[in-house]
Amino acid sequence: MEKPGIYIHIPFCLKKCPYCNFYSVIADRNTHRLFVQTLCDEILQKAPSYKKVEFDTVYIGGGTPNSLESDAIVEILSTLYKVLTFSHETEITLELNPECVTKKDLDVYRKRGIHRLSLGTQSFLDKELAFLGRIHTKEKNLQAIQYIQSFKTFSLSCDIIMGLPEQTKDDLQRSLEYIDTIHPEHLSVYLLTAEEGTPLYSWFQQGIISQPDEERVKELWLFVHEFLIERGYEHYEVSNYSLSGYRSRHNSKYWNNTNYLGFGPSAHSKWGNIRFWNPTSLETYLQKNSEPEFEIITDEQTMDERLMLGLRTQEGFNVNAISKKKTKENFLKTVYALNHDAGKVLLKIDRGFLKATLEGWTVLDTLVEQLVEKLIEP
Amino acid sequence: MAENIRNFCIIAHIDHGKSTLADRLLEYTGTLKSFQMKEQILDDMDLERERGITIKSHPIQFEYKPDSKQTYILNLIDTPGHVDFSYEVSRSLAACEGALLLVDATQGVEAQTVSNTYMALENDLEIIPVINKIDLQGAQIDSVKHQLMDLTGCKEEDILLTSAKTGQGIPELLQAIITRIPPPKQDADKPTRALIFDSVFDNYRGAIPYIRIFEGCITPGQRMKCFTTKHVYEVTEVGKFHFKKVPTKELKAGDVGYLVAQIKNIQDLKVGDTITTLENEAKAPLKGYKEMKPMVFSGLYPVNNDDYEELRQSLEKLQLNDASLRYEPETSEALGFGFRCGFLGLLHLEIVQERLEREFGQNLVTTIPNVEYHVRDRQGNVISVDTPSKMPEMGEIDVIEEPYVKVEIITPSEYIGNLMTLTQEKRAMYINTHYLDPTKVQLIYELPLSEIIYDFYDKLKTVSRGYASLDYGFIGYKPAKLVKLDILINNEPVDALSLIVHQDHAYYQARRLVQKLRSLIPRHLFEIPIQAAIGNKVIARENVKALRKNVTAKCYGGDITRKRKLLEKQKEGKKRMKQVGRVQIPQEAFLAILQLEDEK
Ligand SMILES: Nc1nc2c(ncn2[C@@H]2O[C@H](COP(=O)(O)OP(=O)(O)O)[C@@H](O)[C@H]2O)c(=O)[nH]1
Ligand code: SF4
Repeated sequence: MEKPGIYIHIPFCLKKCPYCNFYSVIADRNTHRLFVQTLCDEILQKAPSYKKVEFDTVYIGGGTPNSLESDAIVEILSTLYKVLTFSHETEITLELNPECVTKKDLDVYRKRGIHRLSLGTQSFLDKELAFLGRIHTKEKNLQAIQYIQSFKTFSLSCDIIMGLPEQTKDDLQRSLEYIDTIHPEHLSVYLLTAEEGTPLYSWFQQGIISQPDEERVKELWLFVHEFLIERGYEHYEVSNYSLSGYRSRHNSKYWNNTNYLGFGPSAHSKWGNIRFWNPTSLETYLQKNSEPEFEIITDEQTMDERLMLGLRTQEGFNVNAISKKKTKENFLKTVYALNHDAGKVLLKIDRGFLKATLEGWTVLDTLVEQLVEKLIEP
Repeated sequence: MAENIRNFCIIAHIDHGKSTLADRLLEYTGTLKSFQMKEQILDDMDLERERGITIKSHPIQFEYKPDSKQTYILNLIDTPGHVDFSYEVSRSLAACEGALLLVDATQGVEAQTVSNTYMALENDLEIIPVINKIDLQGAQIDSVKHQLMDLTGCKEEDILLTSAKTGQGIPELLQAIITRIPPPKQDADKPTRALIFDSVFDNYRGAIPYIRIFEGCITPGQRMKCFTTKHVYEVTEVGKFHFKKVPTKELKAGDVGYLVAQIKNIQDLKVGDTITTLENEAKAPLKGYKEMKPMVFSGLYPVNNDDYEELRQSLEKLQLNDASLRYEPETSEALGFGFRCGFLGLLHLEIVQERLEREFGQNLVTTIPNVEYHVRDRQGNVISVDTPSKMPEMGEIDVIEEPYVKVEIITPSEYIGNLMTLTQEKRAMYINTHYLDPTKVQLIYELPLSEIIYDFYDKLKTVSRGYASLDYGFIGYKPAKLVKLDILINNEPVDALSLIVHQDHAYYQARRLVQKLRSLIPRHLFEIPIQAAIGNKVIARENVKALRKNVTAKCYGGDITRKRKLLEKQKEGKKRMKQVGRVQIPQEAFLAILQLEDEK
């Protein structure tokens, strides 16, 4: 059994990006301080129940964790270490916004044992950064990276958003060439997604921005894949690439059904077959009196999740987890029918694991949608 | 005593205040204290309540004591409020001696009110014109008075004014009911004849007819017989309607009531039929019986083929309460096993469909409704075609005839232009115009029934801002140049999507239909051609493009529950899709023709 992980949600940003559906707000220093206090209290209060367990990842995300003072980050980590047990090779990741990365802070992070930094670069074209409503420029990206890499101790992950409405192959290639020189250990490549409730979503709905052409997005997506594979990256999850040995151990826990605890507003936890989460409101969170919401995940739901998440990864979904013989047969029949219908191999079975091929990943949502109903008896 | 009985009904357009007025009458006569009354007692089926229409007649008996010496027994027989059920209306009217013609003072006379009034006049009913809602600001009492005088030939002083809301005019109305409506004839000694004007089904006591006794009497222990079916049953109970059914010793000429005779099948009780008794048998039925024929047909299929048996049982149960519903098994290549059902009209279809889904939990695919065609082939044989798939090859057809209806529209005159355009699109033949008053017009057309079963009513309301009203009645069959339009999805004909259209409209309809289908059929992993064809000739085509790329979003801790829930919702949605060949077709697609918007 894999060891569980810890997620810390820092709900602050310097400015809200129009595509973002993470929970974050813009707040002053007093609120920051109050939040850190509340967060530490939450950790102290909940930790005793998990005393006997050894954790092996900490992921501080958000929001923009580096909108807090580096001391605050240290305080949070110290609190965690004070009351919980960690394996000596714990992966500690910190998310950073390129706008406010300083050498001084980096040095503080290093000293506190943070060795993995996830940098929200998103693009290396200023026009794209502007479209995305990011506060930083390409220059800020490069400067942050230069600071980070000058330490030699950090492993770096960069976020890239692709599939912008007017993006050309040329545009994308220019960003990728920067990536090529930087050669980060890890990359998350996301398609611009219009999540409900975001300004971007309504812009698309109202036709203020036109949807990117599907055909072109597919072409670009495959182009990124080829580009990175050629440069030694493995495409280990539908939107994540890494150099050998540098997968995100923490994020993998989400995809392979490992336990995790989340702290901070909107943070989700999963422990066994229970999932619980904090209110998505800083105000409520600071009042400390709201019980977390929870759900008990049924066996059927567990299977749905395993399929949905498993197919995102290179490892795939364990077909033998389907216990009924008839159901399994029917499931496999659908797998073949889907390949047949598409006239290409979207799914393959490899030693009992169902995996999406690269082509399969391009239509992953549809595949999952078609397969999920076959997990129960016909 | 029959001279103290008054049998009457209320003719009114929807919302003109029939239910409210009925409540007031009951309240004023002390039949029910107002706090005991559920609002609007007469409409008690949920569906009816929601749609604000009355489908079933619910008679009610109450007493009126104008002074300490006299007691009158008033039987109020409710009439169905929709044009699909006009024959039932005519039978309810036939059970009465009088009718209140209730008109909203702000709206004036409407189409169905007119045709129901004519029906009442044909049945020699005493008509009491009543203008309701006189308390309202916009009441146009004078012009409505003129409309009523024009319609019924009454004098101005014959018209009563009421407000069902405030109770104004209610005593006068009751007085008019007892003085102007004649008592039923006293023919208790003649051979027994009773009119069935409605029936309901009771799980324990079987089908129960609602009857009006015209001659003779019926007592428990007698053997009753219906004229059309000739079945004989022993009567175990007779009774009258208060709020519940209340048993009595007998029912005799003039009475309105019910009888129980352990009648298993509601089909044996045909509205309009006559009941007699073997003890005092009549030679001939009352006049006016008509077999109620379905006018609109549609296929009902379970989304999941395994639910066929359940659907059959549901239809069976539903039919117990709905004598006008017809169904027979049918198979479709695309949809599997299902039923061809016959309905009185489109509203009837909708009601049945909704009840099957809501009360019986059925998950249905309904196919495009159509009328019944008469087809003469080259050999001179005539066949009835109630589904496009039974249509012979075009080469074998000599003539196709389709049912026509006479349509009466009443509208404020400013919408005449719009209505003329609408009726022209629907192949209407103009017959006549009649001014009810300078601002209100009655337009008369003859139209193919098939043209009004889809969207005519909605369009009529749209082009007249809701002011025009409509009534129609079947007049006969006429030849027409019709063709069968087949739809092919992914190169396979889908029989359940075929439809019969007028030759001149075929291209236009075909193009719009394939466009609509394209928008309704979700994208698959492969391209799906959608074609419309007449015979072998494809006349319209669209493609549902293959899905090329999902915008697969990131998925971390907080996203998982949300994503899984979305997936669960999609799973639910899938249950409402019908797999036809390799293509998943949503239920709505089978009714796409009903949702075609105009290209403008
Ligand atoms: N102001 C006013 N409103 C009335 C009167 N009679 C009925 N209504 C209202 O008109 C609407 C329709 O009445 P209802 O009895 O349901 O009509 P039905 O469809 O003919 O049964 C309801 O909102 C009633 O409250 C009346 O005399 N005056
Ligand atoms: S900086 Fe990151 S977390 Fe903050 S609004 Fe932008 S995308 Fe969202």
